[in-house]
Amino acid sequence: MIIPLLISTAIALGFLLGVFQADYHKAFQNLILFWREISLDAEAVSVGLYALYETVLISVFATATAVLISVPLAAVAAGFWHKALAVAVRTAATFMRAVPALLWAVLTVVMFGPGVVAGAVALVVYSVGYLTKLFYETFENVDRGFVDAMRAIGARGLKLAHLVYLQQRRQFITNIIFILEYNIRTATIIGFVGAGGVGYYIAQYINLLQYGAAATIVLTTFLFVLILEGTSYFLRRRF
Amino acid sequence: MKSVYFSYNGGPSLLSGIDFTLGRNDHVAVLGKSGVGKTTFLKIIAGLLKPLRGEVVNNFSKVSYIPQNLGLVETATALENVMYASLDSLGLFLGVWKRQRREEALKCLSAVGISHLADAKVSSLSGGERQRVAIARALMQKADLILADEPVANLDLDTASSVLKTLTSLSDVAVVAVMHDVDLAMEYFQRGYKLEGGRLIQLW
Repeated sequence: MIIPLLISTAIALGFLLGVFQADYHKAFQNLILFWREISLDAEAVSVGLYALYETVLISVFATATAVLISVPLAAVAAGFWHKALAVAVRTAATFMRAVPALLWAVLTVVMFGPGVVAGAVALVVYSVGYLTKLFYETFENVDRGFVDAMRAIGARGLKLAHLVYLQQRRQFITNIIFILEYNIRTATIIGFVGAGGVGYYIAQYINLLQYGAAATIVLTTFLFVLILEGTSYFLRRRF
Repeated sequence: MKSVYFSYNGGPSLLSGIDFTLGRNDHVAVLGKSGVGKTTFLKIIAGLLKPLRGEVVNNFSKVSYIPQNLGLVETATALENVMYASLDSLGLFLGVWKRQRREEALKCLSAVGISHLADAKVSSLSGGERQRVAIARALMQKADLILADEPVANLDLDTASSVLKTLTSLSDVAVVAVMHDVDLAMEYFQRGYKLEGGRLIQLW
């Protein structure tokens, strides 16, 4: 039932959007033309590496800061203290992640001016919203019997939250690695609105019509993401 | 406890006017079918649930509740699990293990016969060993009443006997254990009750 429904929806919306009327032959010709103009730029490699260094700094700072802020917020959101406080924190976290990181970046570029500070602050805000949700869900998913046992040994508030963290440590680490990966990917995009990192340099090269240099940075970023995926796989197995 | 009534969210009554008295060093087994309210009964004594009506007077200085799944931190060692019982929030957060506490925790593990497993991760321990870690944690709290929910449910007969022997030979500790096996219960507990239809019936 669901598959015929998906097929008919795709066809109907395809007609509505004009997808079937597009000139695909010309589209591929354009792509080939673009590809031929690209040549790798040796100078751009050093710019690309510096851009990646900036991107990593922004991402690691944003992730570390967001974890420090999110853990206590998530403990509050999970209802370890007052229920009304939990609702307030959940609402704030929902708002923080409902606004895309790119929009937070526009706002922070307006506030701080273009550069890495704007990018770092934008990612901290978005990551806090996201991590608070992931962490309070981890807190909530802990076995009821475990929480009862911890309450029975006198654990309340911060001590209870910390013991739950110890029990769910693997899940917390998985969440942190996930958000670090997310931040690195996003830090490459938010540069397009001036918030530092790889995207900032790619946007500059595209504006100067230096497609070779832009492509070199994209390729460097691709290689870096591959290394990152490998490292993240290793870290997940280790913990 | 006197005339204790309890039901979950206005549902059918699980406990209907339970009267129960426990003295120091008493060892009591509570038997009954699944879902009759045995765990609820323990949680009310532990103060984790409040009765709808009736009165619970606790004259014990420290009550320790061991749930069926034991509630141990899987990623930590046996010794750390025992020490968690005595650490305050800040000590736990900073990971400060004082020598005195460490020695005390080792004594507790020794009292239940598993001091040689102090540095083993809980996730690598057998069912009987895990049960003993939970008992040691209760001792670390200086509990004078241990409430054990199905302490031998998934253990073979020899291990179950050994765990119950440990549990009922602790000095100056009263024990209330929820169980299924009548023969084992009769062997190790001075008193036995059956929970049925919301009532507590004394069997021996």
